[in-house]
Amino acid sequence: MAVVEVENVTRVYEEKGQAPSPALRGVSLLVEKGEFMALAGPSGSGKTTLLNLIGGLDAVTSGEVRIDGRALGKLSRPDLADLRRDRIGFVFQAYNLVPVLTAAENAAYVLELKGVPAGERRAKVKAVFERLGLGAFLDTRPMKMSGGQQQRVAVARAIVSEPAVVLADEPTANLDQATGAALMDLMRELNRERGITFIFSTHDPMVLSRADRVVRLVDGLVVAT
Amino acid sequence: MLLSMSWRNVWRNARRSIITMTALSFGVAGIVGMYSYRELTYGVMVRDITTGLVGHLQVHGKGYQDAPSIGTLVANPLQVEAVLQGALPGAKTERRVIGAGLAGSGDRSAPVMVLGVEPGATALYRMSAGQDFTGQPHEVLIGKDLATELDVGVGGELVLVSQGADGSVANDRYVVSGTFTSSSAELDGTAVALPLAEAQSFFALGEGVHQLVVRLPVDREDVGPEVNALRAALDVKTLEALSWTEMLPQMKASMDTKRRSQGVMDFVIFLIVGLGVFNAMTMAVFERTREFGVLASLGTRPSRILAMVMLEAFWQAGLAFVIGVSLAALGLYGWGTVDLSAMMQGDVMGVRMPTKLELGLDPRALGGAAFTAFFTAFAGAFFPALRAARLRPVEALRHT
Ligand SMILES: Nc1ncnc2c1ncn2[C@@H]1O[C@H](COP(=O)(O)OP(=O)(O)OP(=O)(O)O)[C@@H](O)[C@H]1O
Ligand SMILES: [Mg+2]
Repeated sequence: MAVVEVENVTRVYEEKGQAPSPALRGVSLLVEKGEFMALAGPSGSGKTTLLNLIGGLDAVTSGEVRIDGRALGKLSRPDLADLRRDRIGFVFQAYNLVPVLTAAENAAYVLELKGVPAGERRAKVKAVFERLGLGAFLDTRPMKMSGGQQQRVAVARAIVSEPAVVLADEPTANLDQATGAALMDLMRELNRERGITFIFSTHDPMVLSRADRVVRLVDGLVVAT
Repeated sequence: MLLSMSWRNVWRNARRSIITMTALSFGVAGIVGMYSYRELTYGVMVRDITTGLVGHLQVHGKGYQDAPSIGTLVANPLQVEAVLQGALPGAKTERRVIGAGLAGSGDRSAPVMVLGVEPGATALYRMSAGQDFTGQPHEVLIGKDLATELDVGVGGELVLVSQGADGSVANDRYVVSGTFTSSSAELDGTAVALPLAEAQSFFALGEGVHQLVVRLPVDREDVGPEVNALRAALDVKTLEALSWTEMLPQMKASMDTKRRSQGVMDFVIFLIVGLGVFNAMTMAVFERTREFGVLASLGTRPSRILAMVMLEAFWQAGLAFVIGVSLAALGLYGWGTVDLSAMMQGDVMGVRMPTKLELGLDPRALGGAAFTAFFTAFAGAFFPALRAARLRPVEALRHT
């Protein structure tokens, strides 16, 4: 079964005093479990908009998004929050770690929301940190870490609770080539080892070359799969 | 994590939080300090009144309070005392006679209040010279200032002239066995005290007395329930029962007015502080808009975000409460004792101000101050917190 189903989705931004601008104009997409998929396309083509809709951060204008067969449009705000907590991991371009929490606390945050006991949280985070080469940074605040390290913490945060799908919007855009490539390799390995589904957006040919499948968006439409 | 996250968020912009907490602390300190000072003063005043001149309650002949007359009596006080004991177990009673007269000594004379009191049973006066009633015939005690005015000392002779309840002329000679001070400057300056039986015969009252002063085994201001119980037990056709607040209505009214006006002031203080909290929390929430978007994307429910922001305000309220109470305690205990009688000479509505007031924290002030501090923090933080909780994740994430 497809983990992510996007069915004829449109998203029109309406702002006062401006003509409505359609960011997505009827996108359909199926993502199977274990895929390592890239969303490509020029700036403004709707990649971020699509990822936000899949992640339940934004609501479609028409059409439907389903995660594990559950239609997001029917969920209340708290239910959407729970769905994100349980089924979706996010990696942002700007890392977006919580500055008052240590690296380990950032990664453990979702586990805590899920009510995982402290000891178990610590063990899980430690294992993931070790796998991502972050073993020495458990108690370090994000401010004191490099961009690449912060982004690895963000990946740890996204995968530690074993979500159905990780959504990564230009995860390497703030990193240099080598660091970005290393991060992609790491995500690829996690995808192989743990069967975690990844969907990421990018402009970067290096990133695209690592994807199993590339979905190209132009002007809010899928042009080639 | 919620607790520790909100605690850490307090210190993210430490300067702003410290300013907020300082304002809250001063508000708490002001409320606790003023409340304690006021209520301790009132407590001592009420104790002076209820244990001294007035008592908690009094029983009179009907109409005496409005128009005190020598002939308006509690005719059989012992019988009434027995009824009273049944209605108010544990109450202590004291019979009193009060009349007006003229006192003379040598070539000086002055209008006086003649009090008939139960020897040894009255809390009305403290001896300042000589001795209390010894049981000798024709003894009289005299207010200290009146003694000065009449130029009479211990062992001196005093002539009293008045009119008896039966219309006869009352006069007699007495020997001053002591001078006294009381909780009223008026008494010190105008009163002479006779043993009850002596006064009853002087005014030709028989067994009758003017006041039956009742002291309850409680230390509080409001004796409404007791007065009602007493009224139910007494024969209200011939007798009246009054609480001290009914006998000194201006006193009670002025206390309550002060309390109300201070309540208004407390409210204004906290309105201002509350706006400060509101402003600080609005800024804190605005600065962290993007972070709330991140927390939401991780699956944090809106209610949890609301709680996190509220907790941040509660931490500040809690700290401010502790600091504010400490400040108030420091001020009150540091000041120590005050002499209110030095500030206000003479009587204030019938009683002399307490001479020595031990300042301290009134525990009753703490509950109110805690409530106000937390309520202020709650009210000030609620709308910013709600704003944070209701942010749409996509928009919050776009915020820079
Ligand atoms: N909040 C918004 N309000 C109005 N228009 C928006 C909003 N967000 C995106 N758009 C518009 O929608 C279209 C798609 O934007 P989107 O951010 O999804 O593109 P993108 O493919 O992620 O671009 P980039 O590669 O630059 O990140 C653009 O034309 C953009 O201007
Ligand atoms: Mg984008």
